[in-house]
Amino acid sequence: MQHLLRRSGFYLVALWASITLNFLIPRLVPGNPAQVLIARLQGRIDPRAEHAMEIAFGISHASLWNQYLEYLGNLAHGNLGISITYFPTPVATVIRQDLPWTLTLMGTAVVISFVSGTLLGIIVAWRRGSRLDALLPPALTFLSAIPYFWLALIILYVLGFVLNWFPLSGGYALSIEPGWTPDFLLSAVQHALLPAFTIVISSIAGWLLGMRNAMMTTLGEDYVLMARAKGLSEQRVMLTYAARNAILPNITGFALSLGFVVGGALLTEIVFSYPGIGFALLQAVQNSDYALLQGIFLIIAVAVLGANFLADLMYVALDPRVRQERS
Amino acid sequence: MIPRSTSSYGSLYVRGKVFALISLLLVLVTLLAACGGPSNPSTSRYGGTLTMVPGPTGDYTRNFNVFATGSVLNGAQGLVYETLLFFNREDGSVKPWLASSYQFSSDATSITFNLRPGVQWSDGKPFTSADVVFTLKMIHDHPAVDYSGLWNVITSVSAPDNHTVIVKLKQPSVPILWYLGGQTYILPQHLWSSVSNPVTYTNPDPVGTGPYVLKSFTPQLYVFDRNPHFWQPGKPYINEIRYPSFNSNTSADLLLSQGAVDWTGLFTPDVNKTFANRDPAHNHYWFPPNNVVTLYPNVAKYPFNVLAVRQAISAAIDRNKLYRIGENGYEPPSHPTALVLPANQGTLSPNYANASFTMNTARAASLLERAGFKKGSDGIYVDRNGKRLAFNLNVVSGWTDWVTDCQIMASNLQAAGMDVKVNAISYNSYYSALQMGSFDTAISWTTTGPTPYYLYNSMLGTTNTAPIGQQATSNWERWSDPATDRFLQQYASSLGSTEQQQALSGIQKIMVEQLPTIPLIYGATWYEYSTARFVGWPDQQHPYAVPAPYAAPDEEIVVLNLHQV
Repeated sequence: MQHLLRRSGFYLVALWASITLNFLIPRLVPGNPAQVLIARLQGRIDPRAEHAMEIAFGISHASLWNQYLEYLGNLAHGNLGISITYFPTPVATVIRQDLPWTLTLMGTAVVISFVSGTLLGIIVAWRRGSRLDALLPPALTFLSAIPYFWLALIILYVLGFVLNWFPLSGGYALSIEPGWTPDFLLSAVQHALLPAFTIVISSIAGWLLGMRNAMMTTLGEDYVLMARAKGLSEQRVMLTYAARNAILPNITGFALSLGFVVGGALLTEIVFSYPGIGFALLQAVQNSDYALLQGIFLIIAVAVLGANFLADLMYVALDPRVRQERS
Repeated sequence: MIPRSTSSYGSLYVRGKVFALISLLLVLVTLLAACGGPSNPSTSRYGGTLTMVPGPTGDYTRNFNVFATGSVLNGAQGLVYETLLFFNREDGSVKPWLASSYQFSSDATSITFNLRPGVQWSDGKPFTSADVVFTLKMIHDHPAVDYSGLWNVITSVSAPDNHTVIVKLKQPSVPILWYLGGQTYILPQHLWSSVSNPVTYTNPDPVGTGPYVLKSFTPQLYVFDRNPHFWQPGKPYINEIRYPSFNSNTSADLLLSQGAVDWTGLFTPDVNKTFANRDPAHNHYWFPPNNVVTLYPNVAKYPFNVLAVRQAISAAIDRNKLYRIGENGYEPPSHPTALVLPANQGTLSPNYANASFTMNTARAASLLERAGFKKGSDGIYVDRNGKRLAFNLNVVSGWTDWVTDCQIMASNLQAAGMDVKVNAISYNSYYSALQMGSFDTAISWTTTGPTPYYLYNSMLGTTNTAPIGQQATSNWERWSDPATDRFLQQYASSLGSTEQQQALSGIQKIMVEQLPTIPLIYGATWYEYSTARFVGWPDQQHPYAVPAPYAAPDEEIVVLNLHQV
């Protein structure tokens, strides 16, 4: 219990630090959203509009300290401000609109990748030296070594454009009104398959190799030998004796990547024109859109910290030593 | 044998009956067609769904506030909200729109708009002069939405009756007509008067006078439906307009080549290969010039205040190479007058009808030598005080076509004895250097309008510049010349086309002879379209509007001209 309390204190401090950095970093980057907009519309907007836009965007010339206090006050009230990229839409609306797509696609893909990668790692390590062990890890490593952008484009071109098995772009068929209808859900799943597939095959090798190597170490331990000597079933030795002890590093990695899920998958979103938060983040950076940047970073910071906290909890559950040493 | 023969008789008999029925139907259909055909030959024009992709925008947010320049959804300006007049920037002509006519007072200090009778908002309420006055007053009360600085020129707005609006001006100003009549979207007073802050209002359910109304909105697609109250009889032809969202050109390109999209405004590196040649009968493109990409020399500084240096720079540049290599063959060399041709053809001075830029390194050398420069041992010219002719050329890093252009120019200028360093910097430093005058030379765009006055005024007018160290709005090279200003003033205050042309010809002479800036190539409008489903598109022979789907309110004019094949 004390261990958990101490960890909570640490997480609060970390949260404050990330909120503060979140405020500072965009402001240290030179730039002015009004000028960026003039560049984006080069020649299509009168340069005299810069003045009007500075008023509209509320570009502040107050001191940094006052801006910081105002920012903390707004955060406390849950007010994330108005996005400039999507002016005058509130940041909260932009995030609320994009986040579910990112969470569903990335969340599912990361879970699939983790579960299948880890399982394959266990099996491959158990049958070390077999043909499977000789083929699978190098093959998957090869796939994940291909730059993601290129891999995704090729897959989209072949499976989507040439063979026409999958839709080319978007999160659902444009003829369908979004809502909790079977038509929409089916279409959403159809559209998510290809992007999810590319994420899984480009990330699965990491889980597999990590698990395989950790398994190799535990398989050499005496307690595994003893379990076998006792005559326990193959499956039981493999899963509860070897794998349970080998999985801890992978759990940490999994928690971290769950936290980063909310950051979105920018490349996936670009290649497949898939809705999500990554593209909004890119636009925010390109347009010096501080409010949107802060909003998205805040969500990422909270999610990463939350996921780490979750990992801490899982460690406590999985590893008795953590419970005993620290309490 | 026998069963088979009876069965075949039977089927023949049945077939005979079917044949008779079908023939009867055919006769009926032909009769019907004969009745309907001649009386209404264009029925088939109506209907259809047009899909357009103005550019890779990412997911949409529901924002139909016409004041939110840059973030308002395409279609709000034009398809939903309309302007008083329509200015065709491809040929400079003006069309009556919500105003059926307008007159300047004889001294050009007031404009009277006569509004079109019988126009209704899409909710059925009448459109009157009160709406126009309301819109202009709202812009006055909120400087944050006064993008064209209207109220720097306007003194008052009044409506003597339901169909007349009088706008009084501080001084004679003919050019304001474009901002006022062509760029100001009229809003309904009965709905917007309750909007407390028009700057931050997202206007989720737009009600306008235009040909379309919002049918549905999702972050990936919004759809417009025909407005039954639209004021043009029999229009629009197209039932539905769809705007799907895309994150990148790539996925939009794939759909374009599959024929799922009718109209795009995308930059495509090899448009013939990826698009036009895939279906030569239907896939077309047209990239008309829309502004002049210009080399801005800082004329407030030595050596760029020396005419011979500017002339030598201009003579040394291989503009054809910029066009072919830097710009994929899409953006041809500019005319020496900096007119956007062919759009401004009507105002081209006859003296320069056949003028063009040619690369001439020998001429560059003789110009510099006559101005007292001598070639140093390293091949670079030095002036009388022994200062080398070396300078920076600013460009935004990452704007790859312009960076290539600058590298080509630097090697051209090197060959002509000038030591030029391409200075690729972040956009913010680049733009602030332009504004504050802390640069040697820079490549940049120009701001254009329906006549060359707008480009000349923003690029050359003293009102748009400032001394080095202070912020200049658009006259970045800091050209300040009484003769130029007199011509600009003459254009702005005269209603006669002779006086206006005289002024424009005068500035053309200054452009060609004094090179306040060095025009390079034309910036292009991106426009690809398919005639598989719809025809009536603007093209080189029919330049009736700026053809890009992101051009407002031009997209309305295009949509009203389109109909099914």
